[in-house]
Amino acid sequence: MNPKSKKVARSGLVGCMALVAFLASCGGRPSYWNDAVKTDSVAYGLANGVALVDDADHRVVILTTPGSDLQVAEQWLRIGHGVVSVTVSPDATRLFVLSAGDWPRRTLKDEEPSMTVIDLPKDVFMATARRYDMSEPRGNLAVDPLGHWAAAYAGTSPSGVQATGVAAASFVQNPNEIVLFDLTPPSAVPPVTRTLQSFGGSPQRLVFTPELMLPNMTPRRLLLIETDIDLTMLDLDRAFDPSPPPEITVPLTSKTTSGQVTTAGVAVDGRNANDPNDARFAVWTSSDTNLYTMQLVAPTTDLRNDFAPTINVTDLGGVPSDVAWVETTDATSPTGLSLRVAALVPSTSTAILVDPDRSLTTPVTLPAPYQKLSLVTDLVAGAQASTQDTDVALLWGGQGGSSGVALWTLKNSVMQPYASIATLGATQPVSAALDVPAPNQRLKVLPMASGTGFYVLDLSAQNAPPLSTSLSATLSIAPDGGRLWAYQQGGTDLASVDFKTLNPIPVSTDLPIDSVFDIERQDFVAPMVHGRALIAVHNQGAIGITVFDALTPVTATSRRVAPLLLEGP
Amino acid sequence: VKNQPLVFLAFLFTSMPAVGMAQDAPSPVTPAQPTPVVPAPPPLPAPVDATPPPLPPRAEPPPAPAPVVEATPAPVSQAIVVSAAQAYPQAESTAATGSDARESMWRIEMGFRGSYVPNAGYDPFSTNDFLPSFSVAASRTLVAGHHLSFAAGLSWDYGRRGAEDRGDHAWISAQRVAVPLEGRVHLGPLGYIFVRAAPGVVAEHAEVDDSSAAAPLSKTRWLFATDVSGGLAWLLTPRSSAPARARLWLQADGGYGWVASQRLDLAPALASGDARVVSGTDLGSISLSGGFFRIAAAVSF
Repeated sequence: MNPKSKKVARSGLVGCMALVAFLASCGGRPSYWNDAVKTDSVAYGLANGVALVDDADHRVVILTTPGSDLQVAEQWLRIGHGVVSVTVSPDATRLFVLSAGDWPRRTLKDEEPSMTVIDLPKDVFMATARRYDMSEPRGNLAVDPLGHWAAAYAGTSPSGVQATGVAAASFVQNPNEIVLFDLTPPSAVPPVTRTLQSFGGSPQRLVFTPELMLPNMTPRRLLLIETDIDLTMLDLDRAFDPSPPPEITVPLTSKTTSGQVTTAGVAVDGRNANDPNDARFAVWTSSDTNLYTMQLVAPTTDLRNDFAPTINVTDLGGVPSDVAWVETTDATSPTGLSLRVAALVPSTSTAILVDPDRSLTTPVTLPAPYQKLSLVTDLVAGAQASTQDTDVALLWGGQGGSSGVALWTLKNSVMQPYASIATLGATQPVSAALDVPAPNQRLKVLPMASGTGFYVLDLSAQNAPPLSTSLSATLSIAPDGGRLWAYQQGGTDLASVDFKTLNPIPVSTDLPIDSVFDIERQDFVAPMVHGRALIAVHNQGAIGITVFDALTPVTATSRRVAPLLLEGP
Repeated sequence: VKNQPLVFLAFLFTSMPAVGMAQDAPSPVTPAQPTPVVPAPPPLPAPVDATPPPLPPRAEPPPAPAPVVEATPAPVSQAIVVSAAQAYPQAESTAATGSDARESMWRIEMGFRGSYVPNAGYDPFSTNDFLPSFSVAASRTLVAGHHLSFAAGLSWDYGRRGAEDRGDHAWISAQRVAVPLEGRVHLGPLGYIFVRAAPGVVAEHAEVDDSSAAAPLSKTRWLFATDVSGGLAWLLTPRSSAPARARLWLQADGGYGWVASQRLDLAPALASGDARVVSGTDLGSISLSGGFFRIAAAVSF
């Protein structure tokens, strides 16, 4: 080979290598492919489907089950960058996703903090999304049970999904700033940002009241904001006015220590939306024996609001664990009924009935130091309650022994308190009282505190048959009220328990179960007769599911679908 | 419809030998050039001649072959042989064999093919858009003349690429079987430049391993494909046109490869007898079309 040829060969070789290097380095792919799927707090149940939050790809994947062959349909909806928290509305038709955005924003293309609302109404299997921009990231969200409002606030720790790689907090924060969203317009309207007056506290919990009749006979809905040390009331109906009235803050001061206390909860009366006498709240604390009762009355000095609270403080003799407004029989009352506040004081194994107007108390000794109560007046059959319009409370959460559950009928509580409490069949302590939707709303599911089983309490028959589990079970009640699902998180065993027969039907999956959702199934053949599907989510790989016919679950006919979050961006 | 590429490939295979045999017979130079008439190389011109010759001395045609050419019916290919000898007199005349083995030959090549695949459907399988392949081909010159020739053959490329997708491993392979149809312009001892069209089929196999799936998710499908390229084949050795047992070549070409697109709806490959009801995933559509280059070493004989 002559020198010229060698030179040509060398040049050609170098050129080819350069071409290979160039082609090998060119191109690329979206960073989405390089980000592993998050496998914690990824699935959320809705009435008609399951939402998978895919933060890396800034989307929510809605899974529905059209047809009877258990096939799964997927729909993608965009959400903001940097998911901070995810909340499902109480009726399971909406998903709220709070996003921090590209925070801090370094370029104009970086996203602002936002809230995305995904609507998946009942009987509609196509989801829609709308986005509300915010000026600052917020980590917590309170959702109005009636679907009208939502409020984002900083709070202490975000609930739900934690943002990764997102500096969710800016250098300077205003923890007393809340963002109010009006959810009723079909398209997103700009939210309203309010800075609450503060005496040193910051919002911890937000409660949306039912409609209350104010003293001027104007129905209003309020937002009650529990801070570390006080309670703030905000008029929601006027919050979007050009000049909204200021909020009203009630500082809570400890009588014993003369220091500030921490709120533990608030109970709202509001049972009669036409009675201004029912616009009342009760606030209790986690370290104080006082109960703070408030009633909204006509303002006398500051007329910017249509109401002003009057406050009574009552010493309960112990720190209350739960509080509710109840109606008891009262022979001295013209109506035969009296409004009282029932407070459980576990340290003395008593319930205290408080007259909110006069701060008079009536102690009722309980058979066990119950910690929780809920009103079940409408669910208890017979003359025990309904004919008298007195309330019946379910008590649970007692420590030790055979505390189980008890029905506390307030019919004779004032005069004969001991005769009004009846323990039911549940002998073991229970950790919760789970509601069952209609048509079986008379039932309550009571998980045993030991984790070895649960009771199905029938409030009509007043019995509570136990069902045992070989392992600690997680319970999920079907939204149609027909059955419950018991499974061990991380295990492969699953059982359906029909509320009619209480007969467990065992099924199993190949992969460990992380969560289950009983959803409505879309049926194209008979659109008015919706079946149901049970979706067991496996948080492995790019997320897989196993789909069962929820009404007749059989392992052999179940369908495995995976991976769900691997599709292209 | 699914078997169309296979039918097309079978047609190409069955038709190739017939084409080869039909083109072997009219080889124009071999019977017309008798061996004994090989002329001696002409003497170099005298250096004292100050007048430049009309042609460079090394390109001057040898006088001896002229009567032989006259005595023999002049086939078309003879002009080619003479012309090549004029251009590169240091090479032996092909009159000895009647054919330039650098132009009319069997050829086997083997090399590397790099494809640039910009399609988004390729993203799950590569962190860039590059698809490397191993390439092998065999061809036979069918027609040659006037420094031009035409060859056809059979080629096979195999490429595979994999990447991590959101924690899962995914890979794709492509086997390309094609019939390269190549037109060449010969440059004597330098080799030749060529343009090539290669219709064929590609077997694409995509697979994803995900721990939540019942089995690895995969799909295999045959697709139509065609390459169009141009390049240079550089003759390494021996560079003369004299008969040789084999010649070595280096070559490079570049062009565009088109491959039909397909939907990557991957399904778990369950074992036979596994009655589980399963569904897979849909990675969207993919097309491996894109520009490519190829560098190869070849041997001809």
